[in-house]
Amino acid sequence: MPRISPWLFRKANRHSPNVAALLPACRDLPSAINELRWLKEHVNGTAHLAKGSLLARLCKKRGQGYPLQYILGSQPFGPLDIKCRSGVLIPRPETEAYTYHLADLIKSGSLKIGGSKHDLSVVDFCTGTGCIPLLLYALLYQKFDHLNVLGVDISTQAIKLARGNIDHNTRLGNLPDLQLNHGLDIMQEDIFHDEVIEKLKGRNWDVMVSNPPYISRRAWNHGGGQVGYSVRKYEPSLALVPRDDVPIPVNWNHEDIFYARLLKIARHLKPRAILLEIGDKEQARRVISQFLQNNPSANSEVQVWRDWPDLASAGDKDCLLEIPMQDGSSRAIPIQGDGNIRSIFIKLGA
Amino acid sequence: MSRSIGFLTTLPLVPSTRAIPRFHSFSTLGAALLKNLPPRPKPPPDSEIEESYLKGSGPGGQKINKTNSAVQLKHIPTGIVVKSQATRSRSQNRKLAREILAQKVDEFINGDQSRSAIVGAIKKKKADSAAKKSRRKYRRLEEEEEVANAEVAATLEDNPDEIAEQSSDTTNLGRIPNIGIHNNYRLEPLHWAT
Ligand SMILES: C[S@@+](CC[C@H](N)C(=O)[O-])C[C@H]1O[C@@H](n2cnc3c(N)ncnc32)[C@H](O)[C@@H]1O
Repeated sequence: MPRISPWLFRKANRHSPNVAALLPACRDLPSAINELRWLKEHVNGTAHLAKGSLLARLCKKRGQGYPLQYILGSQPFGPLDIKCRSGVLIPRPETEAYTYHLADLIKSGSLKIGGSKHDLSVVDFCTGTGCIPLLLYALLYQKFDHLNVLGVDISTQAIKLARGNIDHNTRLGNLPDLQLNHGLDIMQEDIFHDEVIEKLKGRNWDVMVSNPPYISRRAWNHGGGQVGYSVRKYEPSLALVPRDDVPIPVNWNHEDIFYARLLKIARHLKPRAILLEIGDKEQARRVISQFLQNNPSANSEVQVWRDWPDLASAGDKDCLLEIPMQDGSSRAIPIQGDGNIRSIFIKLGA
Repeated sequence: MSRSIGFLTTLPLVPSTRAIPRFHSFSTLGAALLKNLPPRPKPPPDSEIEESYLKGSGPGGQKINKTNSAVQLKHIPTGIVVKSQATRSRSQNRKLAREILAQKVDEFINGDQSRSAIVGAIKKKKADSAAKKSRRKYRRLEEEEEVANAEVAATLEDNPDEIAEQSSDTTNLGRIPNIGIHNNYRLEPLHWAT
């Protein structure tokens, strides 16, 4: 990460020492001033004594890379207020964007799922704070008579936080009172254990979503401008880097093992649509190639979404992704939205 | 960024029928203020808006934890650009930016007949009258009360903070409504096309 110029530090110091303290993490002046505003509100709303010194301490901590969301205790996610705690990954704006886009697709009826029967079931693997199932529930519950959304995670901390987030957002009125028609659930499971399939197989699943750990061990260990300092130092590696103790299937990379597993689970659960977050273009290529190879006869439609799938694509962006196949041929997959390549959306025929 | 000739045909530049309400006495000020204001302008349709994300932010996704979710909008017919980074929520900033844009486009089309200009004119009138009144060195209690009421109404009308509150229409936005009164949004200087 490039050093911050002394000139910018002096400029920040003229605002206040707190802005200067925030600068190393915020990188630019407007962001530092914004974060100071949020930290001030936080201190004013929580502390009674010694507010000034508390604020200075928090600015210093944040400036050293500690995530703002862990200090404030939350991250907005659409209309929701998602609680964040150290040990559980902080929801990202790109995740919010594709979750909205998925909800819009479902609502528009263009997926032809849930539409006529007014029932919809969605499962989110590797749910973390529960941000994806909670947002889907909040955006879709008025549209369906019976909406079932389930979040699955291995981490005890994540499960507790996700359940806490359901209560918290119900209290805030962001989610309907779930006492009656209880359709939003969080379940603790390791997706590499076959019980998870056994438990879910009996039910009908329309949509499967996942934002699994997808960062390679190499990028995690060496950073190399790829993984942010604050992420590497303060966010849990369990959430970000695939584990080393599961066998890697032939022709798969280690950083892609969650996708291998998720596609296998999908063959059992037979959802009508799958949405997977991925790290970059190359990972998208590898995963789509595997999917097409392993499901040659499937009557499926694959799309790639960029960070902001509902924005018009900027002129300089490719609108097709070339997928090399093992037999030497290739397939072209449509890309939509603006920003970096971020997720894979698969519609499966009946 | 260019202000195309085409905007002349897409924007209604016909003289507006709006007029600054006239007030004959203090006693009507408060009521007239609320009644005669044109409605809050509606954001232009999305087809006239170019929205851009923050470029140069590297890989994104899990690899980066950004806290800046500023939204920038350009109104294509007029070239007006606005930006909102008031809140930590991208979806909330998108909403706010559209409301700010609506106000700027209204000012552009309707000039001194725009809603914000009318609100400003009412405030000025009220301030002038108040100054005249105080020179008379006596005030009846009743009048004083009315001045106060009108003042409340005018500040409410002109306070951008209200925009933020109005936009939280259907759902409770948690932390967002608590955001400080000042600096609730940042308006970048308008970039006028040349
Ligand atoms: C990248 S985070 C995504 C969290 C959340 N969905 C989001 O978008 O913010 C990945 C999550 O996968 C969970 N996880 C890791 N290994 C798992 C496994 N074997 N089975 C289930 N969940 C797992 C982690 O605990 C973490 O919460």
